Amino acid sequence: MTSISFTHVAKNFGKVQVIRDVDLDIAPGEFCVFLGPSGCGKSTLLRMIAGLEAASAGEIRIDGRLVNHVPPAERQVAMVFQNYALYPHMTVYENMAFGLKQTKVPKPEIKARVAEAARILQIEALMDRMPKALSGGQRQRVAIGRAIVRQPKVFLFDEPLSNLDAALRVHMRSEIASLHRKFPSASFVYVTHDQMEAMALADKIVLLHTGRTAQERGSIAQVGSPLDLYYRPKNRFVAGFLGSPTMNFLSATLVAADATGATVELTGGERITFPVDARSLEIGAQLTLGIRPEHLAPASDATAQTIVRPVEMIEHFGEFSFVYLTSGESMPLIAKVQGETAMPPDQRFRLGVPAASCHLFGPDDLALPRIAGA
Amino acid sequence: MAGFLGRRFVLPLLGLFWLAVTTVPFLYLALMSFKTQEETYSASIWALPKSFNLVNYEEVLRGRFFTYLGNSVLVVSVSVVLIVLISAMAAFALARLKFRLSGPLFGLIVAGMIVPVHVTLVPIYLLTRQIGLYDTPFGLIGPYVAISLPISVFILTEFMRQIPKELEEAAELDNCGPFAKFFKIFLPLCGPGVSTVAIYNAIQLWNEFIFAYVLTSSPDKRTLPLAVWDFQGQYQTNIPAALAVVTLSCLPLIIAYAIGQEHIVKGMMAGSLKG
Repeated sequence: MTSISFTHVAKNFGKVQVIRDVDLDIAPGEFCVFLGPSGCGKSTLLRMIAGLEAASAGEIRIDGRLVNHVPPAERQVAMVFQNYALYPHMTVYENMAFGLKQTKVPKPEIKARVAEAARILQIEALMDRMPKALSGGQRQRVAIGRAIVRQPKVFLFDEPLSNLDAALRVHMRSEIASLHRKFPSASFVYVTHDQMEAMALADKIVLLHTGRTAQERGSIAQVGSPLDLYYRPKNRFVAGFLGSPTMNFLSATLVAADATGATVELTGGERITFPVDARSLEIGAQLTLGIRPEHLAPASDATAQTIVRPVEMIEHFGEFSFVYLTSGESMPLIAKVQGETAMPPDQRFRLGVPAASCHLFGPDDLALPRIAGA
Repeated sequence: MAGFLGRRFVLPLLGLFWLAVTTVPFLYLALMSFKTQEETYSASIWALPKSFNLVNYEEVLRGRFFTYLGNSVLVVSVSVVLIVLISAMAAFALARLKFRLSGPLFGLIVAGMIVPVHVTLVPIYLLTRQIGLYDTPFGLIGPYVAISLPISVFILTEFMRQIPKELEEAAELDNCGPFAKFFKIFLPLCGPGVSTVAIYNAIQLWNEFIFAYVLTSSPDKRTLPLAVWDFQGQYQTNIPAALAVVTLSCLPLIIAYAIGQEHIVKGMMAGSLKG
């Protein structure tokens, strides 16, 4: 069982700091996903675990052992690259056996380990083929096989599914999840920019942000379980990154705050009350109300808290529809409505706002704390 | 329309023209070598030989031809092996290892291409005499390797740079040090580049005349280009025999090129990454 820990880790490329002040613990056997937009340093962080990049500051420990200066081959990690990185001049068998040969594992054991990995991944029939004679999915399996045979303590995946088509991606995703079940003692660290992959696979998501925010607050935006990040985002970036379509953000003015919750007034004059502690702020403070499209539902006149806005357009998907409403903000207000919704443009549409699903972000974009029990 | 005409007519015509430019001299050479001496003077120079008689070849092969051939094979093969090995190692270091001055060093090596070999003749002649390699086939190997390295390093560095970084990183994770990376990953993957360098240099050195002329003197130490020259003197009245020598000395190159050409075209990189 292997843990990985980062303590105040930073990484500079020349004058550019791509990773700043990362403190992170990955528990033994955990499936940890690094998620974030392009350029946030998620792959760099993974490559630092592999030893392919050196940390500019801070400590990286694998199983308690400081590995900052330990070469990649001695870290007992295996990595699956985005582009597979199969050796093109070797057969599938040779590709899988190469690392073991280099570490002088006896031949019978190499054979046994490769055969076992091939069985797990169902690629026994491909062993004599060259990589160029394989499909994308098969190459990905071989790349995973090459990792399995090394019996590593840590599996590292660098956007392994991004080159596959959509259907195959879903299939391989479930295979990676089942691989994690087959190797429960190994820790999995997985990099992706696809929130669906992250939500589906992770025990723990590490969401990284980029740019000025990363410089001010460190690279990590939030660490937690997928549902933690979805339901309890710590800041506006996390709230907006997870969920598709993205969370609606509406300008709001604080009109009341007490121990039971806060009341804000929207630009349309609607007042919404919900269990968030805003007592630290002054009445009249300019805030942002966040609500996910899937939490807005068509409402009747009798519903307590509603927003009424004219319809801009509707996208139909059969199972659900996206209703775009004029919000008065730079982005339209989007509601994900179950089933079909027929409505002419400009007609006013009433949406219910469930108090428990509202998020309130302060002027610094940090989420205000929810009131316990709410 | 213009593109269509170009593809269907102009390009094939240009191709045929170039094929003629390159093959007609060789065909003429080969056909003449089968003629008798009388035919050479009596018939039109473009006439086909009356019969494919091998008298000229017999005469040439009975002479010292095989000694010259042996020397050429020895000098060229040893030189080419050394050139490929040294230039590939240098290219690997220049393309993939991070060290200070790798850029200027690459520039300096490539700048060697602009040094005309003739200005080095006298110093090399003196050096070769001093170290006792004058008039031996081995005296040719050093200068041959030296003059061939800049272009070879240049070609192979480009090849090495194009090998995806992920393969190198995968090798690092697979416990490969610099030597294992070079011999087990980079050198095999540079197959097309190595073939290019080997064939290009083999052709250059096979035909090399001036160093061979300056650094060897006895007939049994000389290489084929000098042999042609020798035979030319020996058979100045027997033109078909001289042309038989030229034909024979071209053959090994043509055969080697025909085999190697396929190797160059074969894309060994296909399938390493996605696509």
